[in-house]
Amino acid sequence: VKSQTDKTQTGCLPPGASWRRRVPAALAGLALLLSQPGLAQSDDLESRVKAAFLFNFTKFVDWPPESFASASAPLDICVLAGDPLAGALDEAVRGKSVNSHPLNVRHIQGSAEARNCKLLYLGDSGQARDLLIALRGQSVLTVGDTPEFTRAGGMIRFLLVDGKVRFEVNRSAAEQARLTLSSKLLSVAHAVTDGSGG
Amino acid sequence: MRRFHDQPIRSKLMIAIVGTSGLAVFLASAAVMGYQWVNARNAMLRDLAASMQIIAANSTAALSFHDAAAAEQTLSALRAKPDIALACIYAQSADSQAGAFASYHKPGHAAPCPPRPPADYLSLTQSRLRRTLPITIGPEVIGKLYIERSLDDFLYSLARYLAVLLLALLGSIAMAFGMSTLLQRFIARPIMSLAYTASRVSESKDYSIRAPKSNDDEVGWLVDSFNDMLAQVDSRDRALEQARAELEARVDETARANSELQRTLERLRQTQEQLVQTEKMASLGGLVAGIAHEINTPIGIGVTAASTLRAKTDALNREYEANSLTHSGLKRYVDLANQSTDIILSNLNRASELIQSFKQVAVDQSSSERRRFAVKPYLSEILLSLRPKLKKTRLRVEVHCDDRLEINSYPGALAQILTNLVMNSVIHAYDPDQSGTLSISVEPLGDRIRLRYSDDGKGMPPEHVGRVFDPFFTTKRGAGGSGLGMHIVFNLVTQQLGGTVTLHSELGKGTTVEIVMPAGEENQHEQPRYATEGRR
Repeated sequence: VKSQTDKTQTGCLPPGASWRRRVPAALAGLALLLSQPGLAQSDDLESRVKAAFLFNFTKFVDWPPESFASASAPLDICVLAGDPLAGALDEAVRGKSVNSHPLNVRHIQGSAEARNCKLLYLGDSGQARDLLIALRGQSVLTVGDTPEFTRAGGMIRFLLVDGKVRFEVNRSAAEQARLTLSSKLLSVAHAVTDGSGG
Repeated sequence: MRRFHDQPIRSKLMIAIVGTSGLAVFLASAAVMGYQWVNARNAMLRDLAASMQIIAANSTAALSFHDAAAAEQTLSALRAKPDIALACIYAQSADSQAGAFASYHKPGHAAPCPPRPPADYLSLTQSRLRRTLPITIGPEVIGKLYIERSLDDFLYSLARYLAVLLLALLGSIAMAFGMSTLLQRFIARPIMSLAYTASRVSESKDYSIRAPKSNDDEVGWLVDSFNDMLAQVDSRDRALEQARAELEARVDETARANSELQRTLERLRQTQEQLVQTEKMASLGGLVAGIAHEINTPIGIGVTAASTLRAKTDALNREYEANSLTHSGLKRYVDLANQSTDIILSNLNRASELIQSFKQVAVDQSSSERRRFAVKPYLSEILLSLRPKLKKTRLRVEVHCDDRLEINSYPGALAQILTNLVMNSVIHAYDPDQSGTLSISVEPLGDRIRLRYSDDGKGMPPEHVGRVFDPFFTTKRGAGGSGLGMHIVFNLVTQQLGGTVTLHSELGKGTTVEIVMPAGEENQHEQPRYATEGRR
């Protein structure tokens, strides 16, 4: 499994600064969202909570050491360009670091750029399934919003319980990606499944 | 309350033992108590800290993912620790009004979580321990854990501990009390018995009592020493008693000897008086002998003349019977008769004169009458009575005295004094046939007169001078000296005449006696006193 992952990583190098072209569009989308007060307020709070959760996940998950170039190599949190969470995430991780790895938010277009991510938030994107398949075997923590996300091989899925953001965990998916999920994380998870997924 | 010093030994012993053991147990208890307190407190704090660390660690995820239920689930583990009354978890958010993120109340404990976690890291007030611990993930503080712990169990266990210690203290004091009571049998009781014996001895003065000895310790030694001391006192007492009895006997003896001595002295005094009287009589006898000798001459001449006249008268008568009486024969007879009667008359007159003068001296010598008399003629009369004694010697007598000097005194005493002085000189101062001069000088000295008598004889050695007035002191006892002459002189001068007498003498330089006595002119009224004393 390990050699396979390594091969995958070396084969899919990130395409440089391609995400930067998406920033203005994302900002425009964000501005659009903010201009609708009632919905924007609730969405905004949810986004911020999810962003904070994403940041917090990094604290309870251990990546294999060899997945980092060095002890102080940046830890990339990737989000699909145009995702409404991107702004909140930027804000949540700015200047932060985990285990001496500075956090870095990257906006990506596709699976090609996702290889070097440590955490990938897919939101409710339609291409989630493809990306999950593409990243299988990679040590990338995948987080999504769609109800079938974990069944499809995603590791953590956000859901709303009584209006509060909760999450469920697919432990076997994480194990396959050689990620160690802290028991603490599992203890606060709304549900922990062992489904192998697609 | 009495001072400790004045407490009986029994109490001191009790206080010493009970106090010492009580203090020791108390100090030990206090130390153990303090140690226990610190220990228990540290243990409690450690335990609490450990619990808090675990809870803090276990609630990081709940805090991170806003899972209050999970946090409370974690906190509910504290049910196992019934002393924790309140536990609150606070999220490290900027929102100060947020309140506790999760909380735990001990069942029955209604106090709510404070709105903000207290700033104090640790506070220990009244019966509550309050502690705040930051909840961290790595270096990041994500929240705070605040716990209030009741100290009831801690205080209860301390109280129980204290009760046990107090019990131990009371027990040890009771033990010490019992021990001291027991010890008294060995320490206080012998001492008390000794004290009792001592007081019995001092009350009864019976030093034969002995203190009983029960043990061979210091008190035993004390008892031994005390008994030794009693024995010494006893023996000394006896010796003292013996000495006292001896002394008493000696005092009795002395008293007896004293009274004997007194009687002897009385006898001696009587004898002395007798001797003085005898001496007086002897001197009177000497006087009489002198008088007889003086008178013998004129009387003898008278007798011779009268017997011659008788013989001539008988011869004349025979011639007349025989008618052979011649005219010339008658004429011779008449001449002879005239001559004889002249001789007889003159000698009888002479004898009469002598008797007259001696009579006065004799009367004066045997009496102690006081009268006024001229000194010089009286001295001549005394010397006249001494002529028979002086005639046998080659001594000359000089008298220096004013013819007109008169005194009022005791002439008999003066006569006896002078007689004794002259006789002393005659007997002691000169060898037989040695020539010498006796000098008597009298001169007035204010209302007194001074009579100085001196001879130019052999004098006396100093050791005799000091004793010359002592009775019976004589250097010629075998040769008829009575040793009373000068004593009589001293007595007469000092007692009858009321004067003083001093004697100066040196070997080879003669002897001088100086008598100073009142002239008596102004002292008439004192006569009766002298008269009564003069009898002695």
